Amino acid sequence: MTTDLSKLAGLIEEGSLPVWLREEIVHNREDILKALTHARSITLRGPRGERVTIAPTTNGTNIPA
Amino acid sequence: MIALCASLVLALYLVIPSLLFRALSRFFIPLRIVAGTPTQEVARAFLTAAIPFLLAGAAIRQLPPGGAGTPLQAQAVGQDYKLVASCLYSEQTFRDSKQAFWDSFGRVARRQSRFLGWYYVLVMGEGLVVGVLAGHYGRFKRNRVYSWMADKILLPSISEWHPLLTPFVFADKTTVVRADVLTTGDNLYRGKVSEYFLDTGGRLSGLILTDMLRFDRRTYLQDKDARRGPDPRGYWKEIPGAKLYLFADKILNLNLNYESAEPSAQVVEEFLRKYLATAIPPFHVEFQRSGQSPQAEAKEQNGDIEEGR
Repeated sequence: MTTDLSKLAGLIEEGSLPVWLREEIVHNREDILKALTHARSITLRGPRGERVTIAPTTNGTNIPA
Repeated sequence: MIALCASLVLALYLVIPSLLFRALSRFFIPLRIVAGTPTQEVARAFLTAAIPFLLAGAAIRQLPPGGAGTPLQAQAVGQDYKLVASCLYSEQTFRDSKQAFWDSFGRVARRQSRFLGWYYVLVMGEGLVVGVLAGHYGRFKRNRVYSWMADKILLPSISEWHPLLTPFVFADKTTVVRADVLTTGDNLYRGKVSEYFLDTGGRLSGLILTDMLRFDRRTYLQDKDARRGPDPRGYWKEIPGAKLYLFADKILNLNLNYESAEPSAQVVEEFLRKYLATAIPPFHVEFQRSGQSPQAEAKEQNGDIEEGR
């Protein structure tokens, strides 16, 4: 392997989302943008009932979940 | 005789320790993933042996019985080695020394047996430590010192396929590696990577997918041409059978996804920021696992969306 393992690990971890969530985000890109622009939250639901809520932060900074 | 002795020394001091090291470390990390050249293998064997060798040497010097002793005793030990080496080199010296050789040889053999005992135990300990450290890469990788050690010492020649096709780099070992595989026959498969195989050169020779689906590209293109607005997610069809073996030489490309049971909010946020790629108000993400509601089960393959205030 010509690259360092740590670099490869970083690359692998970046964007390591379940397929359904990735597809939901891609499919609903405009809805997510619209919701956040209008300060509304939006919930994406997975095939097994998982829920990912994307919500605007009120204090201007991201809140760790 | 010299060649025979050299082979014996090589076996006792390099080959056997290397085998012991591998036997212990393989409990934690499969050896086939380390793809080194023969030169790298020899260099690794030397490096593996160096620390236990020095420690074992120090141990038998310091610890009884047979510590360094007085200078006179140390000199006697040196004389034993000289006599044994001379007799192994020259048959004439061996004939002349008679019983003195066997006395010295006995003492050298006892001393070296003790050394080898320490040496092998230390090599096995080193194998365990290295195995544990390498095998828990996902858990320790955030540590800078560990990360440097993994890059340079522990796993410098790891095959890239192991981190790519297994949850090796994730602390959560239940992470599923899902692959979309485009083959030379223009077929697109999706499934969990269950197993992968490397050839002797460390190149991918094949992989096994489970829970596999095949993309019905023909129908999708027909619907697209007919302007029916097809949703690609609805064109994945189940493949009968439990496992799908794909030969590496038939694979054009791999699209890999790593799915942990609960993706970290940080990863989701980073992906969103990158994907939305526009000026958006600050946001945060919350993930909630489900209790497998019947409605959710019904939506087995596709997600759903709802909005709120």
